[in-house]
Parts: sequence; structure tokens; C-alpha cells
Amino acid sequence: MTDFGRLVEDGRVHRDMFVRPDVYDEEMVRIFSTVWVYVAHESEIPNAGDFKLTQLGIEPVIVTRAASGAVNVLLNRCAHRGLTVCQKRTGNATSFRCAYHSWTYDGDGKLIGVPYPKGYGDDFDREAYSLGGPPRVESYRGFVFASFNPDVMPLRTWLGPATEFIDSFLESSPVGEIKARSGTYRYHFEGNWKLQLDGSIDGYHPYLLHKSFFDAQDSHSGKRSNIYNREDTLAACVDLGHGHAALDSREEFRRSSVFYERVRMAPGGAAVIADLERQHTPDETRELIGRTVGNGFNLLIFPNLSIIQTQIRVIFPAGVKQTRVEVTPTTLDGVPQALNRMRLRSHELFFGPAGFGSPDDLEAFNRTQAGLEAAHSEWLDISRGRERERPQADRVIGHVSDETHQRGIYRQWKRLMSAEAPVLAGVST
Amino acid sequence: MTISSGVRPASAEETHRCAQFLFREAALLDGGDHAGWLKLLAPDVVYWVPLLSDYRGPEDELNIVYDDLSKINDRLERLSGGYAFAQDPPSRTTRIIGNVRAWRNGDGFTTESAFVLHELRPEATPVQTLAGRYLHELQADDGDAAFLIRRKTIELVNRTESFGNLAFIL
Repeated sequence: MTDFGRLVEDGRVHRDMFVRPDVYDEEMVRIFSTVWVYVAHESEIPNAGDFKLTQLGIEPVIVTRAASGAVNVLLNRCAHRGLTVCQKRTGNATSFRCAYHSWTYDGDGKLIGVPYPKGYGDDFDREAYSLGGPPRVESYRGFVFASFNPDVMPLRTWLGPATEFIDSFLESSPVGEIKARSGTYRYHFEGNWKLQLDGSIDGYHPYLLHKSFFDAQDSHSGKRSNIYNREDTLAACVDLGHGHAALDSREEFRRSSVFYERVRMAPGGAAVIADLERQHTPDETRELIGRTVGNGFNLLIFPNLSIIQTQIRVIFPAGVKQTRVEVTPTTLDGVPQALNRMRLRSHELFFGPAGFGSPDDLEAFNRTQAGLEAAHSEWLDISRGRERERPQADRVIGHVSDETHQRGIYRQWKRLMSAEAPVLAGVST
Repeated sequence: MTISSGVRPASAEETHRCAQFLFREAALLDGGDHAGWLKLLAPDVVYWVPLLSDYRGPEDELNIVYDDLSKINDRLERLSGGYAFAQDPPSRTTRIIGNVRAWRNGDGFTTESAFVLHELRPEATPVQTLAGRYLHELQADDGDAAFLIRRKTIELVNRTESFGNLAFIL
């Protein structure tokens, strides 16, 4: 095979990785069939028999809660002639029946019904005709990942220091539980999936591409909220290893009461603040909103999960130049309903197809893919901040506007896509 | 959303007046006249585009759009400020409104209509077609428009599905 690893150099990446179908095909094997891939949050399937449809890489799967409480990830593909056996995006079922010849499977994927069975002889082995699925499924604090690689490292090891951010996400709830059941934005763009991958944690663009959003926010607050161009900013970008990355603005968002300002902009927000201030001082109200209405970080778990503010974002490659994205805001257990409403309002303000931010991100991705047709300019630059990044024991920290963590993403990509890497790369640390 | 039973249907003449108002609103939006559209909105307007197939109300669920007048003002300022790249250049739209029905509602009317909307982002993509139902709550007004919009709900046929961008006013 071609050595695709050469498409990544220190500080730049080659356009071929965004436009060549052979690179994409190889990614589906060497990345999406090799490492841990996020499939569901457990709150989406709380009861036995609950299921949701999703994809593991580009393969259709059913994620379902077994009677035992375990989470099964099954290929949504009849073992007989290949039809999908489940059509509904979410639901509850004790079995899945194929429309074509009525082969029927239970919630563990076992074949339990075959019409006119005599046609298969007496020694027909039903066990061999299970739906099947990835051999490894593990969960970290409700986030369910699966892998087609039987020898993949334990999930906890794979996540490494990124678990701190997942913990922080859950600690917004006084009881440590979240729910992802209020609705999901679905959107798509005409561009390669990696544009959303590194775009999810890009800290250089917010105040630039999203100037129109920050202008609106700043006109309400009466102050400039640019935390991205200050030398003394408390925000940082973080390379967490294994291609995981974060934009950590928690302290800075707290200092500048970002979520308080967003609540003020939202329908019903002023009433919620007035209500809270009947029980709390203004400072306590700001602190409470800052603690519950959103996290001030963007976390990327390579290769398809991002946790941003209140949301779980999942990236679905859909061809070398086509990507689908699902964005689901979460609510917190154990907080007043009004604060969960404000989580949803704060989310709607920026995200989604009609938000004040996401449409411009999609436009940027579309324009990137269009620009990358210029084959005579080969490289994309990700060198920003190389001179000022600070390596630590288990991470590298850079200025919030730098590309330290994006270099980490592409180092992982290179590791997995190099010719010498085993096809089940990512197995060892 | 359904129109509750026991509400009195509007007369033919009243339905005609309501329809004329909806057509006028459509013409303002298709003409890119956001300032003109703003003048049609009541101070307590709710502009709502639900997301869920079985939507109930905007408060406790995720919405495509849930705006009050303040947020509509922010939205329009953003679109006209020169930095809303998803609307640069702005969409060209035309919408056809039909099947208009109207009911008396206090001193105003509730209307339900069907729409088909074609959108083109010049030099970018093929024409996008959107369809669905508009539900308007109109309050009588002494001004030129005859009505003000107290609530506009846009029920998109494909609201649960994937979108490119919907940055323009529906």
C-alpha cells in the first residue's frame, strides 16, 4: 500500500488526505475498524429493549440494552441476505425481524426464527447466523464505545487523561448523571470528516469566523469577550495523546461569565436570572449558571466524538468529501428544570443549522473542501504555536489559539495510517 | 399542533384578509426586507421552528429555532452585519403558501397554511426545497398591516432530518 503516513509532517498536512478516495477507504479500516469508536450514551437506551441506530465507522449498527442491562452493539444486517433488520432511529424491541424472509433475531443478535426451516437440513447451525457485531464494547461513565479490533487496548487506557474532562462534564450534575434525550441536531457538509475533527477543537477561529455571534453577545454584555487573543488568557489548547485534544476555557469562561451572558440573550433567560436572584446573590447566580449551563471546554476523543459545552457531537464519515454530524445537548440530573432549559437555550443560540455559529462553521468546511481542489497548492499549515507549547508529563499545553493539539490529532492519524503500522494499529500504547 | 375544537372558523372574508397578510409576509421575506418583516411582529412574538417529530412546546426540548423579539433582533443584526458567512451571499428564496385556513382567536385569528419554499445560495449549491406548515397567531392591529404576528410556528416536513444550513428566516 501507499505510505499515507507521509501525508503528515510536523506542522503541515497534505491535501491528499482530504480528497483521495483511497486514503478514505484506508481510514475506514486502519482507523474506524481499529481503535475505539463512540456509539451511544447510555441515557439514550435506559431500559431493557431500548435501542438506537447508529454507525460504527460507516457500518450500520443497532445499539441496544439487553435484559441483563448490558449494552449490545449489533450489525444491522440480516445474516441471510444482508437487509437492515431495524429501520427506526430509536425505539424498544424484544426482537428484530427481517422484512424479506422473516429471519428473526433476539436482542443479543441470536437467530431465533427461520421460516420453513426444513430447507436448511437437520444440522443447520443457527449460532453461525447471529447478527454479529464488534467484539469489544466498553463504557466510560455512560459513554459507550465499540471496536472491531478484538485486541484493542482497554478503553480507560485509550482515553488516558481525557477522562478528566469527561469527569468534569458529569460533575456539572450534583448527582453525576446526564441525559441525552432532548433532541438531536443533524447536519451535513460537503467536506472531509477530518475538517469537523480538528474544527471541533480549533481555538484560533472562534472570535474570527464567529465574529457575528460574539458581536451579538458583546452588545448585550457591554464588554468584549475575546479570550482568544490575550497573552494572559486562562484558556489553553491541550494535546491529550492518542489524538485526543481539548480546548480548555473553563477558568476563562468562569472569569468572564460567558454562560450568564448567553442566558441573558435567550428567550426566558431574564426571568430565570430574576428568579435565581431572589434566592441567591448576583455573584452566586453567575457562579451557579456558569457551573450548570455549560462546560467551558471542547473535548475531542479521536476519531469521532466531541463534547462541547453541553453537547455530545458525533462525526460520521459519509464519503471522502461528505460528512454527517449529530449534535445532542444534554440535561443534568439533580438541578432545577429552569437551568436545564437554559442549557438547551444556550445550545440553540450557537449550534444547529439555524444557530448563530454552526452555519458559519459548515460554510467554512464547504469552502475548505472547495479550495482543496487546488492541487497545485499541496499543504495545509498547522504550525501555529510550535515555539511556545509546553510539554507536561501526560499532555502538551499550548496557547488557546495555537495548533498544538491539532498536531497531536494528525500525529495519531499518521501513526495509524503509516505503511509499517499493523492494520490493527492502535492496539499497543 | 392542532387547532382546538370549539374554535369558530373565520368567515370567507376574514380568511381572505388573513391569507393576504400571509402573502404579504412571504413577499417581505422573499424580498429580503427584514426591517419590513420586523414591523409585522408583536412585542411578545414567538418565532419557533420545532425539531422533534412529536414536539410539545419549545421550553423543554431542543428546537431548530426558538426566538423572542430580542433574539430575532440579534439574528437579523447578525445576518446584516457582513460577517454571517453562511449568508454571504444571502439566500434567494421564493415561497408558495396555500391551503390557508383561519379561525377566530380573541380579537385576532389563528391560521394554518401549507408552504413550499425554494432556496438558492447563489453560486454555491443546487436549489434546496423545504416544505411544511405555517401556524400563525395574528392579533388585530390598527396599523397598515392590519395584523401583528404573536406566534409563528414553522413545522418542517423534514425537521428531524439532516440540514445543510438554515441561517435565513423561514
